[in-house]
Amino acid sequence: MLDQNMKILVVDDFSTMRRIIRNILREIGYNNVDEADDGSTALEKLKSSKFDFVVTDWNMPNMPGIELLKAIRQDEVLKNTPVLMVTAEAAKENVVTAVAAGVNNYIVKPFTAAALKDRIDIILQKVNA
Amino acid sequence: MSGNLNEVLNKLREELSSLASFIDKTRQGIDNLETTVKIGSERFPEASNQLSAVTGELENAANKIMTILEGLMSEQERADAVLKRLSEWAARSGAAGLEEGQTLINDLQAVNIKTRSEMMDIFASMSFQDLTGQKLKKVIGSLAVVEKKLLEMALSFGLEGIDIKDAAGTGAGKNEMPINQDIVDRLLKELGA
Repeated sequence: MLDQNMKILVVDDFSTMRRIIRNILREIGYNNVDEADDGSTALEKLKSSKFDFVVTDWNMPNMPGIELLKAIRQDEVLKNTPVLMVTAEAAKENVVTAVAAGVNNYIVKPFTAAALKDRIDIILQKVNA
Repeated sequence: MSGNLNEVLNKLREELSSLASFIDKTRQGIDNLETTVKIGSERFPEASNQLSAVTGELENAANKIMTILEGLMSEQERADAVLKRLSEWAARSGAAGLEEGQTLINDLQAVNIKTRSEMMDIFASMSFQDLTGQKLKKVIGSLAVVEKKLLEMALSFGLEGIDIKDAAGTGAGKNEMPINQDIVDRLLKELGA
């Protein structure tokens, strides 16, 4: 069940970006937020605790967002977790790659609070349909 | 016969003189190139360090602004709560001029909502730090590639006093065509995501 109490994992190597997304999520009603600074840390967190939603950057050291997405989709337990890619990689081939890897939606930086809310709402509507 | 020989010797002398002059100029050119390579090898790491420092400074500045914003938003939540209580108190008190008072409270609440929305826009705009940081990282990567090439040239010249270290770059950004959110949304729809 995905709702305003859902637990969200924000993954970005820039602390400022994680802070921005956390504050925007709080503003649109999502207070249960945790953070990770790269894909591998995120994967550890996802495997050790239950998360309902992942918001991840693409460009990160160690494990980029696209690899995290693939790892999530290959994991029996995590494979259905909704993933929103939040990235500066605004190139057509990136979107195609992300969709092929199973991304639920894709938002280009910089974005507004309303744009982030729209993408989350679209994902939740589809997941809950 | 000897006249012809002299002519040939003179011609040969001229050619040799011209060749010597060309070799001398080329040598000077190589000397200058060595100096350029040496200076470049020394300056590129400095430029990379400066750019890394800029990224750090931007992050610090962005964090400071966000701390102030978070403080302001917290104060705004308090103001919003006070306005709600004031509105309830006014309704209960049944004081004269209640309607006018309620209008003023409503105006203040509208101002509060607008400024909060604008604060969120400022928050979202702080992602410039991340975006410029990523671009600077690509520039640093490009500098590392050029630095490596210079170091290889320096090695081939046998220049002394240069630290030959691993300067393998992360590489400049791919030659990609950026697209905006509308195109991304259309693509997602087409791809069924």
